[in-house]
Amino acid sequence: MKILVIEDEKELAKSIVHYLHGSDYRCELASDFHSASEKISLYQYDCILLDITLPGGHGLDLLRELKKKNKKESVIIISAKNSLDDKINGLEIGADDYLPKPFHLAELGARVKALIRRNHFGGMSILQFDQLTLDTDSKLVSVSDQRVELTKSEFELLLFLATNKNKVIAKEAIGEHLSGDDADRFDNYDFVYSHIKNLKKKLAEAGSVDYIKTVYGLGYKFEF
Amino acid sequence: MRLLHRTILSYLTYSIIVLLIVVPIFYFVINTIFIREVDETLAVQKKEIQIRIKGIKSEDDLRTWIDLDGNMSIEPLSGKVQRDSIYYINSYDSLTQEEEPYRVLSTVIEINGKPYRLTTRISLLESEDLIRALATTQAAALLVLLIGLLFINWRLSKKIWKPFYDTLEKLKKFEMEKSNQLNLKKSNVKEFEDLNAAIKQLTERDFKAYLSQKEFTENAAHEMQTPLAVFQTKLELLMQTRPTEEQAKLMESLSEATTRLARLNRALLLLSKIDSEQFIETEQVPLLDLTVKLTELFRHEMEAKGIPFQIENRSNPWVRINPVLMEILLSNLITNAIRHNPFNGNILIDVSEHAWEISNPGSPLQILPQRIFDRFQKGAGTAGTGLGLAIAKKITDKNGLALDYQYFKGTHLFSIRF
Repeated sequence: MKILVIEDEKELAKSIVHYLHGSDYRCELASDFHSASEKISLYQYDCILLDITLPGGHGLDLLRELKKKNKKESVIIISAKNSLDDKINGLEIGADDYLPKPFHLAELGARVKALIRRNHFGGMSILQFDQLTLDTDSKLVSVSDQRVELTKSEFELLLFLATNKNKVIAKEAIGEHLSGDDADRFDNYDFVYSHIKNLKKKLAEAGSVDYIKTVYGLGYKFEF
Repeated sequence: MRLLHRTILSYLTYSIIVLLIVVPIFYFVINTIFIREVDETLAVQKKEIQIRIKGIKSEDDLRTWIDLDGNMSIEPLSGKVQRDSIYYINSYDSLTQEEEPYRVLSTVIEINGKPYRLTTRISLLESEDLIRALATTQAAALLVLLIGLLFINWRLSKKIWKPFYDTLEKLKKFEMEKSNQLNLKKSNVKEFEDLNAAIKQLTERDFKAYLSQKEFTENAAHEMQTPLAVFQTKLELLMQTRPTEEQAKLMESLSEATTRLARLNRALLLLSKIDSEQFIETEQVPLLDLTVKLTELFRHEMEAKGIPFQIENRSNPWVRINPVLMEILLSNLITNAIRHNPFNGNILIDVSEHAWEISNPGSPLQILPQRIFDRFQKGAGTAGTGLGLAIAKKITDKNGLALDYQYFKGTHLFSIRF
């Protein structure tokens, strides 16, 4: 899987590349409008992470260029502006997702995976970890072909952990992921703890290996 | 005291003083002139009598003559010869049965070689009436004049000061956030034109300052997003380096702090977004339905804190507002009620035709109640950003709703009126 990261803030770009690299992605970097434009016209990517404010031009113009050339890449806009207009414009021009800065890498990872899954039909919607199976289309989980009844939040939680497998995910990242737009309305993410507890219990009862590990008070990790 | 009243009061005081001085002086002057007139008449009468008396030959003639004129008496003079004197006297009138004032001239005349005292008098009753009538008329005329003057002055002042009151009224209603246009009325009075020009300059300067402050908040919050993103992502990468327990604890604290910082930044951005009217699209929002939806969202948190809540659904009012803003408004107030709820507390939401109210028990505020909607006014040790209520207030202000806070008998009450 090839990903193009278009981001002028070098340290942020390095973080993204570093994190995604560990998840079997090959990342390329473009830090200004022109090099990004060049790379887009020369190569084919699976996913493009696009910053809106770039030296030399506007990120949305790159997106327009891309759409004009009928390129099939999925695009996630990462923007510091978090303005409704940018979001609406971006999605209208043809971006697939919008992620305001600051974001959690785990969140970015999950969104990239979700997009790639969506663009590759056949086989991509099933996540398999030995006997544990997650079907992202039907949102069903089974252990050794036996259904595990999970709530919507529990499924989202498991999927989030699984798509960021072998990474430590801070409980704040999980909390924000699960509460979505309502994240700022909660004082704390204590509910993450009870969701994890219930999820682990249900998986254990279904006879699954305990993949979800607690990393001190910091967060959780799906080990596979 | 209003300016108009102050000038009128000064005029009134002056007029009353003038009235009080002028009326007695007038009375006195008229009276003096009149008495002089009476005295002259008495002197003339005396001369007349002296001429006529020469024709009297006998005592009988004299008596008859005296009897004929009730205002004259001639008595034989005994003792020393006195000089003429003129004086006042009150004597009883049998006809009107009243004491009547008289001006009396007493002199000595000689009849048939014998000295007599002649007294002749003129009644002052009518004259006093006349003077009084004159004085009253005078006073009345003065009073009418005065009232007229005051009225004209009042009318004129009102007209002259109208642009001033107009300007004042506009200044009172002026809100920087809503409009920078004052539209002051033109006046042909130079002072008021100067005042209007000065005010215009001042508000323009203020508006510029307001704009740049707004812009600063927005820019600062925006500029902070990128370094925050760098910080947060580096921290996440650090978490992947198999930290020891000690290191993990440090990272946990950092992660929590970053989350708070990010939230604070988002709240600041939201404030400036509401300010710059980025939520202009409105629709009819059903408040009761929205309330039920939001409490569902917070159910878990309320249960975790052991806070029972109750919705008094007396009505399902529809309010025309941006739906995103309405959700933020209500959820900020609900979050606030959850956050500042004591152990074993509760939350009561009352939805009626024209108000949405939320109340919860709690100890009195640590901050001044009138500052509760100001930015960063929060009690020590609370988890919020200190912007939730400021955002709520901003939303209500921008959308023509009224948001009020009350503390009564250990209960905090926030109410939105529409």
